[in-house]
Parts: sequence; C-alpha cells; structure tokens
Amino acid sequence: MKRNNSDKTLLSIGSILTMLLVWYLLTNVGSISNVILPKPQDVWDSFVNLCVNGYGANKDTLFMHLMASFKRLLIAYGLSVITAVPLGLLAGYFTHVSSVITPFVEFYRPIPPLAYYTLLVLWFGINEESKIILLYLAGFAPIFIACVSGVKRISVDYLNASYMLGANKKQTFMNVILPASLPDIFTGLRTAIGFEYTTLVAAEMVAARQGIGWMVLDASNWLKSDVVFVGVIIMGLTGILLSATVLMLEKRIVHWSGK
Amino acid sequence: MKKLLTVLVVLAMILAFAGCGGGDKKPAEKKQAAAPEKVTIGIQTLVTPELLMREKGVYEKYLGCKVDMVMFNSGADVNRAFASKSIDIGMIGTSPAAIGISTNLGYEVFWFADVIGAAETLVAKKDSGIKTIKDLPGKRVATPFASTAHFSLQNAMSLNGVDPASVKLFDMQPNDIYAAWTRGDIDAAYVWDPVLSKLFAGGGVSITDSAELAKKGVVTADLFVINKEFATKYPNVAKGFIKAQIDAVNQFNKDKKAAVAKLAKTIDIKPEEAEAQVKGFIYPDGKEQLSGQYFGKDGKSGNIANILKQSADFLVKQGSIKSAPDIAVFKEYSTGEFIVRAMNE
Repeated sequence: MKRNNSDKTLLSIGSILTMLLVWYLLTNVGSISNVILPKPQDVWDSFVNLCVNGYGANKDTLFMHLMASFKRLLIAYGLSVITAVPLGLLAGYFTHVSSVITPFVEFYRPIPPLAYYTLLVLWFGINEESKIILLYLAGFAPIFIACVSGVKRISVDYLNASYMLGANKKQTFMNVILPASLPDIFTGLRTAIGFEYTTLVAAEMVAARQGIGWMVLDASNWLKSDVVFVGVIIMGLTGILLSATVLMLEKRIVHWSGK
Repeated sequence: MKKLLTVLVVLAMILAFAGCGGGDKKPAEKKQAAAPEKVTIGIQTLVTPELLMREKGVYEKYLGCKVDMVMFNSGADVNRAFASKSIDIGMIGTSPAAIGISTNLGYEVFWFADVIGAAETLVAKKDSGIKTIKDLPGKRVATPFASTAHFSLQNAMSLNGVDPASVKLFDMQPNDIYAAWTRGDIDAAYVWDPVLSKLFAGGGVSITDSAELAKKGVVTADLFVINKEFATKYPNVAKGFIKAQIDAVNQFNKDKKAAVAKLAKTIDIKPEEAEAQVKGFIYPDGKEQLSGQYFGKDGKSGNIANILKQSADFLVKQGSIKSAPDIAVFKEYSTGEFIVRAMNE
C-alpha cells in the first residue's frame, strides 16, 4: 500500500517537472514569441515584482489584489449559502415553494454570467454591488438545486418512522431532514465555490480597479503575458485551495458519507 | 530506465519542433509576387474614408484575392489578433501600435487612416465640478485602457502636473462608459464616437481634446499596419490595399457630401452624425502622406517613426510597457514604400 502512494506522488512530481523543463526549453532554446509563451524566468521575475512593487495605478501588491478578489468572493459566497440552503431545503420539502422559485432558478442557471453581467452593471452600477451580485447568482443556483434534490432523495420511510415515533415537524427537520441532506448540501457548496471562482474574472471585467482577475485582463491589454501567467497560475492554485478547504469541512461534518 | 527513455524521446521531439518553429509553413510559391489564398483585415468602427471601400467585392478587386473583414472594439484586441497571427492587416491607434512594435508582434505601419483631432475628447458632466484637467484629482474618469484616448488622457494629466494615482481612473469599453454616465457612476470620460456624441447630448462639456494635445506635440492617429513577412511575400496585395485607401481619400475629397452620406449608410448612422464625426479627423491623401509629417518623400524618412517612438517612451514612463526599442526599430517597422509604388502607377 505504501509503495503505491509514493509511486503516485513521484509520477505527479515527475510530470510537473517535465512540463517545467519543456516550458523552459521551448522559450529559451526554441523560437516561440514571448507574447505567446513567456519564459519561466520572466514569469518568476514578474511574480516577485508584483509582490514587491505592485500593479496598477495605485501600485497594489499581488496580495492586495488577491484580497480584493477574495473579499468579493467570500461576501457573495456567504450570501449565497445563507439564502440558498434554507430556501433549497424548504423548496425540497414543500412543493409549493419549489413551484414558485425553481422556474427562475432553472431559467437563469444555464445563461453564461458574462451575458447578463452588462445588465447587472446597468441596474446596479459599476461599483462592488454589481460584482458581488454576479458572484452571488453564480453560487445560488447550484446550492439551491442540490438542497432541493437532497431533501427529495430522503427515503419517505425515514420521515414516516420519525413521525411514528412522535416527532413534530421541527424535530423531524432538525434530526432527520437536515442530516440526511447534508451530503447533497455539501456537494452544492463545493460546486458553488467553483462556479463563483470561475465567474470572478467576468465580474472584474467591467470597471474594476483591483483584483486578480482585473490584473490578468489589464495585463493582457498591454501584452504583458508574464503577468497574465502569474495571475492565471495564482488563480489555479487558490482555486485548488478553496476546493480543498470545502472538501475538508465536508469530511469533518458529513463523516458518515460513503459508510 | 523506461521512464528516462520516454522523457528523452519527448525532449528530442520538442526540441525538433521548437527549432523549426517560426519557419515558413506555407509551401514555396513558384511566382515571387503571387497572391495568397485569403487576406484577413481587422477593422474598427471608425468614421474614415476607408468605409467607402467596404462594398462587396471592392477589396477583392484591389487585392486580387479573397478578403475576410473582422471587426474589433479596440487596439488592444487588434494586437492580440496579430499576436495569434489571426490577421494580416489591421487598423490600430498609434499608442497600441507602439506597444505592438515594442513587443515584436511583426507588423509594420504603412498608412495613416486618420489623424485624431476632436474625434477623441475628454467630456465631463456639467455638474461634476470639472472645468480643466487640474480639477480631475478625486474625480471618477473612464476610458478604454491601452487606446489612443487613454494615451491622450495620460499625456494631458502629465502636461498639467496631475498625478494619475489621484484620479479614480476606470478601464471601460465605450458602451459601458455610456451606461455608467447615464447612471451617474462617472464624472468624465475620454472616448470617441459613437459614444462621444451621446455624452455631449447627455449634458457633457469638452475639457480638452486630441486636436489641442496634437498642438502641444502629443500626436495620436489611427494607422493601418500589415504583417511585415506577409507584405514582403505579397507586395502586390500591400500595394493594392494602399491604392484602395488612396482612391478612398480622393473620392472623399472630391465630393464630401456624397461621401459622408455613403459613410453614414455603411455604419448605419444619420448623415448629420457622420458629418459631425468627420470634422474631428484629418484624412491625409496619398501625396500628403509622402511628406515629412507622415512617411517622408521616399517613404522612409517621415515623422511616423518619431510619433511611434515618443508614444512608446511615454508608455515606458507610465509603467505600461517594460521597454521601448531604439528609433531605428520604429523606422524599420514603418514604411511609405507601398504608397510610393501605388502613386507611381
């Protein structure tokens, strides 16, 4: 068993190192334009420069841009969780609630956020509100839908047993419905953070002055591909971190899943 | 052992690929001045005599091959298209062109589509408290970044001693600017038409414009650029394109009223709007472009290289680009040779 795990890790590390080597050779020995593929050393130098000297008119450091993006993300995520979870669970339990809310959710969910973002800017302005609302909408739908299906999937036997044992509606909710739908709720939470994160760049496309997505878009306008690479790599790494965090929470809270 | 072998084989393949990267992928043409299968031209929605040539089949006749026209919203988009080798000819402002040449995108300037006068203006809301550039600190100003308008705004601030960090500058596309103006989210904008006219109509006042800046030595213009390798391989296509532009400007000058009406129809605006916009530009004709102000008499010694170099140096000072090459590079990547050839026919 131990040998299997170390083999897997070695393979992953080897694959990444090979890619880095190929990247280095292609850009330093080969003749690819630096705009199409910047040199790894340039990307590293950019990274250091961004941390120390910053980017943009206000010379915000990389850390400050990341924090600006995360602030938008976490506020929107918090809002989507506290509204979508209760609404979703209610809609799963009461079909009337579902009939009212679900058509709107199902309608806007497949629309690419960038398509309706310009509408949001028209209605809510160019400041933080429209950006947070866009991120909120990106996260609301997956959580809502996961909660609805989570409740609906509960075997009616569990509910009947609960009522037979004398539990009232509230007790049933807290002790049967909520725990039984937790695995689905967490699936929704993980999907939502992913969707919101990928929507971050769209949210920072119009009239942002800070943020990691804005930094990537602005650098692209000036053909600063090394900065673009730094931004994209950072976004990839923080995306992994965010998913892993939610997954860790899920393993702690829904410890019975799969057993 | 197997793993090492695989890595070595992959490395060898990649080196072989990289070594011949950048070489000519098209099969050798038998005739030197043959025509390509197709030419892709990147254009922007600007009111210039070039619009007179946009009728079906006209460019095909001048260039002698199939023509694809692709619309772009900004010079930055045109630069990205050149970077990915998606277009052969493009219309682009002087400042994004300076960026493109500084980053070796491989194109050369070969025609002035227009010189920008009042066509780009800094407009402020009447009640914003902005009467001059010096009133900008603390105000919210929008402009599309990396455009000639942005360049002009940065220069205007610099000439008036205004620290750019003290102004709330927003990078917005023209139609987003209009929405933000209407909502009251911004106080001023440096932008061009069609949004510019809408801002004036919505209670905007001109603070300064690119004509005033040109008088102070800050020249901005819209240029046509062509992939240098492409031009060397297909000089007849380059010459044909220039001939089309020369004829367009001549047609425009011969009967301005008819030309303006035709321009208006091509981009679907009212003739009065087109007339107003045309007043904001200068359209030098073939002969004028071969003067010292533009490409020079022999097409090699004009002011174009200086304009580009100055733009690049300013952008380096602003921190927008890392470095600007010598003036020699700008001289190499700007040429009036196709104008000379077209005029001599």
